Amino acid sequence: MRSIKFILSLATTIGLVWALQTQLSVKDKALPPLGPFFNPFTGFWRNAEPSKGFTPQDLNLPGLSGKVQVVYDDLLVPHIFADNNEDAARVQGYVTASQRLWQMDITTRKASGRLSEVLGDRTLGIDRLTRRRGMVYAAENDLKGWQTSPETVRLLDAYTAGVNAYVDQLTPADYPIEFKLLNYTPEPWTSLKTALVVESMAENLASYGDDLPATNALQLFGRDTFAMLYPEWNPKQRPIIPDTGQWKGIVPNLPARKTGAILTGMQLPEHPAMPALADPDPYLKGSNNWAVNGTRTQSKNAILANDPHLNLTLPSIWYQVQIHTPQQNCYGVSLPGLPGVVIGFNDDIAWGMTNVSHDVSDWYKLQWTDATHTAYQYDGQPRKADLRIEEIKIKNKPTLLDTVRYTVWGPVVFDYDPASELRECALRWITHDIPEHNELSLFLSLNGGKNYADYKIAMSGFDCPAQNFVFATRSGDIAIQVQGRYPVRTPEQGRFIQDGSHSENAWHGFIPQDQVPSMKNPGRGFVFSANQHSTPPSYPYYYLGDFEDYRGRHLYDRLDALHDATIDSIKTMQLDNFSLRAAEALPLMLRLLDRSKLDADGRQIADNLAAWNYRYDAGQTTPPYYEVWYDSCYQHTWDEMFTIQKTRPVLFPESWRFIELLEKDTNNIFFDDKRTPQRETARDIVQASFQGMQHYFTANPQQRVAWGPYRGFALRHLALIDGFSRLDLSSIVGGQKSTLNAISRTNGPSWRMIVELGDKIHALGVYPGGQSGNPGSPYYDNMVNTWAKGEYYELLLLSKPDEAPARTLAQQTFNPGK
Amino acid sequence: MKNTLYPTLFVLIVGALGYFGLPWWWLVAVAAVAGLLFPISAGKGFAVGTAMGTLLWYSMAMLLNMANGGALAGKVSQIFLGYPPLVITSLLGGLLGGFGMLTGCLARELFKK
Repeated sequence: MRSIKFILSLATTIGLVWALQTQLSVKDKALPPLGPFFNPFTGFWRNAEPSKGFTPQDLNLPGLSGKVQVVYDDLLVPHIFADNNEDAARVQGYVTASQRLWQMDITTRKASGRLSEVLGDRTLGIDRLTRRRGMVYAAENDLKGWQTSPETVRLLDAYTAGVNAYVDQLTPADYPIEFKLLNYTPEPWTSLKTALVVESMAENLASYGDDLPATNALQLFGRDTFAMLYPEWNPKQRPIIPDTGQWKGIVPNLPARKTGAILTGMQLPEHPAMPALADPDPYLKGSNNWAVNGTRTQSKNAILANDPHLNLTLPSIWYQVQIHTPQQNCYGVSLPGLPGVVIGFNDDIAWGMTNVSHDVSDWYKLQWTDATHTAYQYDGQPRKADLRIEEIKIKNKPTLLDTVRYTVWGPVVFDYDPASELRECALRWITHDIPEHNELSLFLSLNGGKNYADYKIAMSGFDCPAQNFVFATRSGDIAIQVQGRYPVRTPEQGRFIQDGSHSENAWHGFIPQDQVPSMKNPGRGFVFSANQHSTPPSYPYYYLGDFEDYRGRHLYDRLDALHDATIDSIKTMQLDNFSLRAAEALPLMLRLLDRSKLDADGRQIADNLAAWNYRYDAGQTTPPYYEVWYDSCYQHTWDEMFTIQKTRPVLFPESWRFIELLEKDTNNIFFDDKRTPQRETARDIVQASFQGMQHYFTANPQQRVAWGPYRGFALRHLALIDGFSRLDLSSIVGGQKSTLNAISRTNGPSWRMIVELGDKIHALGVYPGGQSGNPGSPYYDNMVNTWAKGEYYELLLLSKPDEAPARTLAQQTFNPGK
Repeated sequence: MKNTLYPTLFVLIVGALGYFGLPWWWLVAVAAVAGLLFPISAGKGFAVGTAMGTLLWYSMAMLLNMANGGALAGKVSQIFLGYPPLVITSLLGGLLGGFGMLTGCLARELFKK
């Protein structure tokens, strides 16, 4: 009896321990093993940081050449004071890891197709595609390029060692909470991971390409209709760099076309079951930057502003830091995983970035020599594909070995998917190239830059992802450069899938650095960019891309009208919720609307729309009506595309072109609904869409709310954990894709910075997040409300550690030694 | 009462000390050893183990939670269907301590003539 009791009790105890040690899953959600997670001595409770104060320990950091002092200000921004850049990089690595280690881990895991290793086979599809797109291959090539600069290698190694000094001293109790939740352990940092951080930005910003949808559209509609639907140049566009005669005499060196070479419009096999690849409403990627010189400011100092719009997450993509060494004194935002400051300012200069949005990724159709797909035709000869084996480890499952074929163009991404229309195509993507330059050196030289000459030298070292670098100095210079590495193309080359069996279809070299569009101190007193066209069509090189058509124009108008600017007037521009797109489309729509056919409710809505000031403020009640009406007009007009889209990706006309047709071509054939016998015009579309909109709001009265709650806004945790996200901001966050304050449901200004370059630098900044990546820290989301309300913080560019005692939270000393 | 004092102190003190470095199931081991060492009935052992396991895990969690202002607990509770992490933690501590000590007591009784 006793032994039975004992055995029962022992079995229960062992069973309990086993159950609490096991990773559970409830529905689709994986839960951590409960025992280790709730154990208050090492589990998640240890991530509950004190809500007041911050007490970092002084410590020894092997490899330092001297003492490094870190001052944390009241926003937990580290101000690093070191004797040289290498020591600063080492401490930057340590400090960044101590706040953002899990973010660094998950970002590089995603960029290298290693999510399944810790998350299991539910992320296998993502990993496989990442690998097949050549992301790791690209990062390896980055490293090869960076190796040519000994200074870069030293800084990179110091940064890596700093991160690893932090990782090495961790005990399981100290692991960031996400490691405990997802049940895996931190691993050492490497230079390759730094390259992966750069590649993940390239993937975000420079992977645009409509080759397949455009090819399909050309095939379906024919040349003339294609040209009518998809013009490349918007005549209302305000390019970043105007033509001032600077391109006279430049003639691209293009080879004569050989006969028989197919350069556009490959016929592709049709696949009715093809799932649509392209998203008709791709999420917003856009940014603003500008600089005005003393002729436009009250203080006669130059002012620079930048707000890069990215996917907004918690932790934030950015981490603020100041780096003070004898060579530089620089403040700004860094990317966790990258040494130095990416966007910021120092005692003499300031700079900011927006995405260039050129298409630098093309698809080439291959002709395999036989069914084994080991060789393809290239200039009449069979050429063997190189094989790269991708080893994808999967938690609790056998490793997947995936063979990717590499051609002269690049990887054959989709040949594992028989339904893909791109399955016989190779990807030529600029980010795969071994960089001729060194993206890291750009930031490092800008960080210590003093004047325009330094800026120009820094610029020459940056390939990808191409950025519009705006620049201003304390001495009053302003400049902008559309910096990147761009292929030289024949007209329309890269717009469609090309024939990959001819070498002459390759890019014809790259645009020389001195012919990359740029501008210094224009007479108008300002430079600006908002992801619009880089240049007018008179620029001698053909390029294509995904360009913004409204923010840039509105920004130009505001800058053109700007006099006696102050930091406060610049703020109103960053926070501007006025939509030029709505201002151009709505009057046309109202003009085409026959109000006599509306009921009383409809006339009221039309009156409200007519009285709208085109502002997407969170509290405005009119924007939802306009949004639904406009979207409905767009969908009714392009119903052909929406039907095709169900089976094949197809190109959609740009908004500006649609609005232009509403203005100038109301009888366009696309306004006709083919299902009806009569011939519809834009009037019919606008009228029917209005009634559709009215029905929608009658059927969904709960949608009759202000713009903020209607649109919805979420600041999501990187692992989409609701408890670690901020989902309470919808009612105060306004803005829209086409406004300068460009905010969509999950994207928007990831960093708002304004710098006035006077005798003493005066800088403001804010991002929607906090310096700490730990949801258990008071600094996890402490800047979110400030950002949402459109407020800013004064940024502290300290000249010595004890300069701002009132805003100093803590100090930490790093000593050389073991 | 007196014969429960020693195992009570043992679980609390040795338990707390061991957690500076030992894994989460340490509490089971400590409670089992207490049950083996101290002459206490299985029923009382289970009660003492449960109470002390709860107390040990609860008080450590509570200390951290108070300093944190309850912020992280609120976030984590959303992952666990709204159940307060303090309650889950105390419950788990109690289970581990209780069954650990019960097993220890029953093992000791095996050798008793």
